[in-house]
Amino acid sequence: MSEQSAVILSQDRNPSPAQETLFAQLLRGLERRGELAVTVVPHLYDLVPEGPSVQRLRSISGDLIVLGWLYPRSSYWVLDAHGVRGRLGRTMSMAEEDADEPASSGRGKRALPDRTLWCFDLRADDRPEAYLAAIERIVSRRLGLPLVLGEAIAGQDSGAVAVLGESTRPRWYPVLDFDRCNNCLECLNFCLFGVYGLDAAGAITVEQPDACRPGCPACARVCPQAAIMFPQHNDPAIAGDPKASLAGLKLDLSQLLSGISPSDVAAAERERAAAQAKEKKPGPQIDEKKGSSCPADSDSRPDSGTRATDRLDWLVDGVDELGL
Amino acid sequence: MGRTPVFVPVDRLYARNHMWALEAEGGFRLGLSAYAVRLLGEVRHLGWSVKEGDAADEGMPLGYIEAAKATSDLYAPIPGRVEAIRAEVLARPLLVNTNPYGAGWLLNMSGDGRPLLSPEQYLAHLEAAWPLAQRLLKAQAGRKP
Repeated sequence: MSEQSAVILSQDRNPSPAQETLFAQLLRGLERRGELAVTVVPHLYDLVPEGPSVQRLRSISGDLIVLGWLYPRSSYWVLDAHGVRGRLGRTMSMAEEDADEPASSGRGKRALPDRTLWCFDLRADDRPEAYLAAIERIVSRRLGLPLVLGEAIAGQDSGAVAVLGESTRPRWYPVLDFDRCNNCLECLNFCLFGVYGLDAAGAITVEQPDACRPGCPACARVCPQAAIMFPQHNDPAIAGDPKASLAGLKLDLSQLLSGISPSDVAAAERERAAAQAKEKKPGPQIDEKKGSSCPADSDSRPDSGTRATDRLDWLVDGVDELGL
Repeated sequence: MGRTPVFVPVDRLYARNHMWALEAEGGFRLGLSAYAVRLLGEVRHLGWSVKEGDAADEGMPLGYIEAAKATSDLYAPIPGRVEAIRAEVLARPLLVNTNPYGAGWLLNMSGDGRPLLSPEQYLAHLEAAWPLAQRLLKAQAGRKP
């Protein structure tokens, strides 16, 4: 078994037809290859620690090739949260120069197992060949033999695909990037829901991930290091896109500190709301179950109509809790 | 008003833009109120687009401030002239956090102090402006990058 390279193919929550096609094509390209041990798991972010998928992931000690619907950085730190660690491999999804090279990632200054996690974002390219070619390069290098992936040849033996039929529910919790986190504990002090805690060494941990309020990314905005990700958030900077800047998360207080009178601000605000209402753009979707009482739901823009007014009141009530 | 009380010394005047003003050196020594500092977080960088001797109208942008949680332009709280820019704070922006009402002052302006508010008026302004401030913050927090 140790000769095989482990490939994890993660399903999306609600795949579009195009995503389903890509998934099926990838599966066909990867299956029945003795060189590969392919496992299909539910959405990486939705996995629970005690579930069979995480158990399977933990049981693999060699390199891992992970294909999922997350930024590679998010996948990497989701795996880390489940105790699946290694160096982060540079893949084409990361738009960096040295694709297929191990990237440096030190989980702070902690020692990592001597292996590489190759994380691919399946949203980066809709052509299966792109991923298959990258996997060929990674596996060929490991085996020292050329590998060509493609449609499975009838009759070729072994390399069955394991499909872990774990039933999952959509989860929402912060994922910490320990390469960025400097343990300032702003998140611990900020979160109203007891999500964060400290480990025995005094380091921040996501102690109760499921206490987090679905849709609430507030701690990610508060984090001075932009070390907190919510992989399912619509804002790339919060979802884990490494290219999104830290400054992009900062508030612009110019309007507040300009000292113009509140009535002028109100008028300007009404104008902007009216302009937005005209555009009539449907807001981005966000998973917001449990009637979340989050104080800083990011996609709660005061935009249009009466519904927005109610929402605004609700939001304004919540800002106190921000403790800004 | 949030859970942390905001400290407003009564020995000076305040501006609607959340600066304080203390008569000194023939003008007003200006700094940021604890309220503004709290919104900004740890100050990282300050920059001025005006120089000493420049005239400024009330509300004119003078420079900008970058902090851990937020960035903002900085505006003239009164009409007048920029008499002095405090170099110590340019070199050590954290002074704004550690001593907002003292060593963390930003600049000195001479001019017409009539737009300035008494501490009581400033507190009333804070109360009155808070709902709008909240909305502005919410709108900001919800914006796309």
